[in-house]
Amino acid sequence: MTMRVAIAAITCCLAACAVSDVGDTDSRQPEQPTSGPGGSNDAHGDWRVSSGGQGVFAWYAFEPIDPAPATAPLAIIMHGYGEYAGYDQMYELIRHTVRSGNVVIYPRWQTGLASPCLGPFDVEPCLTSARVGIYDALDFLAGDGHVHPQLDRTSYFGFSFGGIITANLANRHARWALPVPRAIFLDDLHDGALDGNGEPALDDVMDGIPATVKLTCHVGEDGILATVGVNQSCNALFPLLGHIPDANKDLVLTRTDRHGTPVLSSEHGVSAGGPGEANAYDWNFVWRTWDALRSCAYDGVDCTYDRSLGAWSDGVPILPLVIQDAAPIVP
Amino acid sequence: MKVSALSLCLLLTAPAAADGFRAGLHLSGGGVFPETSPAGGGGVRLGVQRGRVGFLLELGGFGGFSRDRDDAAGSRVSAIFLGGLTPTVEIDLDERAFASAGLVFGVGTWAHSTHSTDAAGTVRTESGGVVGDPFLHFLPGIDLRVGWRMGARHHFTVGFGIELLFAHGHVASATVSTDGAMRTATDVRELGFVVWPSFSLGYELKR
Repeated sequence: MTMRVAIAAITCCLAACAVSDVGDTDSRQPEQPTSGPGGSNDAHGDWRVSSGGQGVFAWYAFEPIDPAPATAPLAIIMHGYGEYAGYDQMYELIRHTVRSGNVVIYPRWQTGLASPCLGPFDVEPCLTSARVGIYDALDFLAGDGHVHPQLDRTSYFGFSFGGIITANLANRHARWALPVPRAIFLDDLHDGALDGNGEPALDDVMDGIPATVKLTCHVGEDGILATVGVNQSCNALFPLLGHIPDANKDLVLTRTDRHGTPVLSSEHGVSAGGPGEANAYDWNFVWRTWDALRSCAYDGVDCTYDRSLGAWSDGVPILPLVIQDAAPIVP
Repeated sequence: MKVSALSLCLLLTAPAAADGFRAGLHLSGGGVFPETSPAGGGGVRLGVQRGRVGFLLELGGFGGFSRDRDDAAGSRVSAIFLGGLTPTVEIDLDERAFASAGLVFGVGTWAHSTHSTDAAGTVRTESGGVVGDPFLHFLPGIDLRVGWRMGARHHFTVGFGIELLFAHGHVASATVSTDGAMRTATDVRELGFVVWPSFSLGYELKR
């Protein structure tokens, strides 16, 4: 992998290398379903956003309101490299997660390209920042007037470098007294490859992730595997997850579908999106899978569900997911 | 923060006692403190000589990277890259020896991080520097050198120098017990500095 590609991957986590939005036809993407996992039938009308912490130890907490429950499951969502302020990178995912009845903690673990950690060369300061953010946000949410997180119903979501952090935190959750991960979604996790291939920033051993976890690791056909190499991302992580039964984990690949307009891109950032940027890959894949993982882990519900991605407005099916239990998955 | 050094430089200087045009280049090697990275660099210099005084403009830079360990128990990483212009005044001390002082107008970045885990599992991390958004920062400073030149019209030079750079950076520090119950975490802005002592070898031509 070239330095150019590595830098591109680590810095433009989102849309910098976007394909053209114009597809082969004018067919439109499917609408968000109203019910089921990924659906729009949210139990809560709005969210309450709080923040705290300082610099690289900052955090956001999102609570469902309208109505506000007394307690709610906890989701810890980790942004990718390059978000130094705010929460736009994962805005739509967070909002969907919160409005469907979860408290979300969003550690804002980074303030600069190499702050607090120099990418994959030393991931530990970034782990510390995320970890402090989680502890501080949990303390905040434990206070009066907040929706108290149900710590025994906790799930983790990580995108790109945030996927590396998420995997390592989940692996060390017992050592660091973090909530036990019941479900984990990792989207195109990647450490930038500046320190070599195979995601060396991942812990060498991942047996701290509970075998009972429900886990999906997603890569895009035009994401990290295509731009950096096939031994990256989930293909590097999955061999470390042998202790998790196949029934509990999936390695999933999305493909870029140019049949309609706007195109459904599988480039790095399928789960990412600011306000108004969600598309059918969000609600029919990322949100649906993320919701179903949690429902299955917490309540044994939605352990099987429709995994088709729907159809364009002219009836042509969207290119289906490729789903495997073992690496490598190849675009 | 600390510095270690080992440098290579090629300096350009001209016949000490004659007026004329000077051009040359130098390569330098040393270490950066307090991050303790080995660092190398170089530059080209153009200028004029008026009696025992040279007026030079240098275009140069240096960079360094180091990492001590890479595991959950502890590690230290640092990196610095700088490029810039350095207007310099150089004075001949005698037939061979010279000393110079310059103002550095640099653009670059530096960053460092450390972490350790003690026997009880308490993690300590510190990171800092001026890497951020934007990536490159203005890094002003001063450059001081002494050296010796050999030869007549063509000079080979050896020297020692020290560059001191300043920037408004930040330092983030955290101490977190195993279960997180005991923790401190601060991220503060502060004036940071980098010292780069170096040894240099160079070549210079005078017309």
